[in-house]
Amino acid sequence: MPVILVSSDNQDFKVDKEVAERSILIKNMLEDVGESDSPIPLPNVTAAVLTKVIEYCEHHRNDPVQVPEETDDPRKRSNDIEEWDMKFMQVDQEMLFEIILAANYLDIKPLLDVGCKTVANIIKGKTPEEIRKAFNIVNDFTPEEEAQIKKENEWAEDR
Amino acid sequence: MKQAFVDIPELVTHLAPYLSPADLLSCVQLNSTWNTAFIPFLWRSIDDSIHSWGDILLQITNLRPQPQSPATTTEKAIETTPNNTPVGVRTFDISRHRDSDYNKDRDWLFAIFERYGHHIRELNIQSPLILEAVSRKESCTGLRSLVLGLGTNVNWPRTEYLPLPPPLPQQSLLPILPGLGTLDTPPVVGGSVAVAPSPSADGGMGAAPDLPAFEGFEVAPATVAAHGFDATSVDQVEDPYQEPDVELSDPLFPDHLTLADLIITKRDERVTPESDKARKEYMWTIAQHTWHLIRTNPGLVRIDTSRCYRFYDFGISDDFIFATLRLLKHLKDLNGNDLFKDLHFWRLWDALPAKIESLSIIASLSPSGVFPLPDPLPKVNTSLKVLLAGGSTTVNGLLTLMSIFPNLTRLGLQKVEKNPEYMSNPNSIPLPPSPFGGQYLRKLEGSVEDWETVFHYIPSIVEWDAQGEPLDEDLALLLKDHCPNLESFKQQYPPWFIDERFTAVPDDDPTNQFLITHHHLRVFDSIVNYIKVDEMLREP
Repeated sequence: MPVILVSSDNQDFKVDKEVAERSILIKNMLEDVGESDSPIPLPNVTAAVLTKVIEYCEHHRNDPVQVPEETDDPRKRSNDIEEWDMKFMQVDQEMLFEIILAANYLDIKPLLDVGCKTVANIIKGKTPEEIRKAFNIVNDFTPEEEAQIKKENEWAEDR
Repeated sequence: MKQAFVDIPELVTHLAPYLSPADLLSCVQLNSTWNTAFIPFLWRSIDDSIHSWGDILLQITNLRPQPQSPATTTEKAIETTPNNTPVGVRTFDISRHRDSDYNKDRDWLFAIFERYGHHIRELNIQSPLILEAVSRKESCTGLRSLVLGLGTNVNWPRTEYLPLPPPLPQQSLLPILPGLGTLDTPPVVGGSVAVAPSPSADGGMGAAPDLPAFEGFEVAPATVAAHGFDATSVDQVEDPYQEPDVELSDPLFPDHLTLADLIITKRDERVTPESDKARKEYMWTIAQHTWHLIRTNPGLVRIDTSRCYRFYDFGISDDFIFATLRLLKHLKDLNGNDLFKDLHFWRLWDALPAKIESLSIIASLSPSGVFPLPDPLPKVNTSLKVLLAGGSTTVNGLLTLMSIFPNLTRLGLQKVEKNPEYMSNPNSIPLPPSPFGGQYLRKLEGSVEDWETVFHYIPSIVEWDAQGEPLDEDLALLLKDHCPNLESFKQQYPPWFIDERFTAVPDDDPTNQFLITHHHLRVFDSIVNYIKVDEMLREP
């Protein structure tokens, strides 16, 4: 049973219901709408990004649904990205961020996780200046503020 | 216009679980958005035993004047004036310390914890200074897990704080107190206080070998009897309402803990009055901060004080401890060895929340462990999974205990004896024909006399740590036959069967058939034989 998704730039995408429902947002919308055939508009996602997202969902259509673990500890590892996902994520940075934003909006947790792991791996080992450069982050600290923050949190430094 | 990913805190936060503290440190410096998003993750878990905290603590200036301590593992220079008397403010070779060229002092440290303390959820403290930092202004009230290891050996050289007294006749038994010189002297209101006696020329702790020994007060038995203690086991308990012979400073947190909650012991005759007072004052300060910290963190789920420095000179009243525990409605895991020593087990049980899952109170001095069980029997509790406590009992007692805590997976007792031949105790429960509670018990610790019966009634046991019980040939062979489920057996003495005779012929060796896992073989003494037996066990 195909479902039609419409990107923000008005492109139609026909996908299987099972694939579309990897997105919890779409899943809930479909449940509300019922048997109707009308296309689902996604005003926050462009066609280029939606293509990638659908590609991911197609590949992972048979994955078991993740159950969040009941643990107090939020720490997770980022070195366990499977090979297909790694290749999938080899896109330019702008697209990478767009995919993460889309995964967040569409509520596709595994894709959000993979995206974040990828970004985390870029951050790893870099100095603040290097990270700013990599992501075009604007620094709004004065040099004194920055030095103070660094000193206060010095315990976290790698030895 | 859509915001960029890097500017949306809610999204940027998703990255945090994947980043190490060092990376989080880089991230909190990027800009204010990232700072706000990542600080809670960076400060979530603090453990001051790591090397970098040790480094920082060593840089703290404005300590009290210290006598020069002997060379330790560090190469840091301790500055002294030309005639070699110690200097109050210690300066360091700054170039060794990355690029922080500010002077760090105690107030700076306290300010950091005031600022970030409310993010901390897991805290592991070894240093009294950190304890003071988190407790003093109630800046840390969101704790879920607290591990106290005050007085434990840690990697950073503690002796730089300590006045190491040269052995003087009256002070040879004075233990080295970690961080003695580092605590704030509380504001004194009409009481005389000296936290650390000022060092004399010989670097000792107020040496005055000519002072007459203090007579001390009579030991009053009243408090001892009320708590059911054997009078001989705690022989220095004083009536708390009697004027203590040592004047301690006023309470820091009078709403939480006052001098009336203390049980102050007689003066230690082996040391000078000044030393005794200094030590008591030190203990008093540590106790206040410890209990204040616990009481202001009602969200605590886990407390572990098993590596805490024992407060020899005085204790805290049981009622105070029970009242404090009653505040902790979410407590699931209590390892109270040391800080919660010598409590009456069932009164303690009464003060704990019903959802408690793990309880370890091995009170070595306490005459009352879990047994005797109270009459009437306590309500069944299905939540407790781990119980490590003292006490000896019979097989019936053990089974009764299992019926009170049916979901136990791990149990540690001192000793389980055989049931007496003639059971005259009206409370004794006749052995039932079928398993009686304990269907989930996997690990049993303690010496068990009548293991046949025990394992028959609790067949789920796969690990037995028999502690001091010597293993003999009959036991080994019988265990093999009767307890096919037993996977791991451990005990303190090397068993008889680590012997050259038996390793020669693998198939005949009862150990080969008996032992199923390898890991407990590490308790054995004989390395040569260990390897041989281990090889044997690896054969299909």
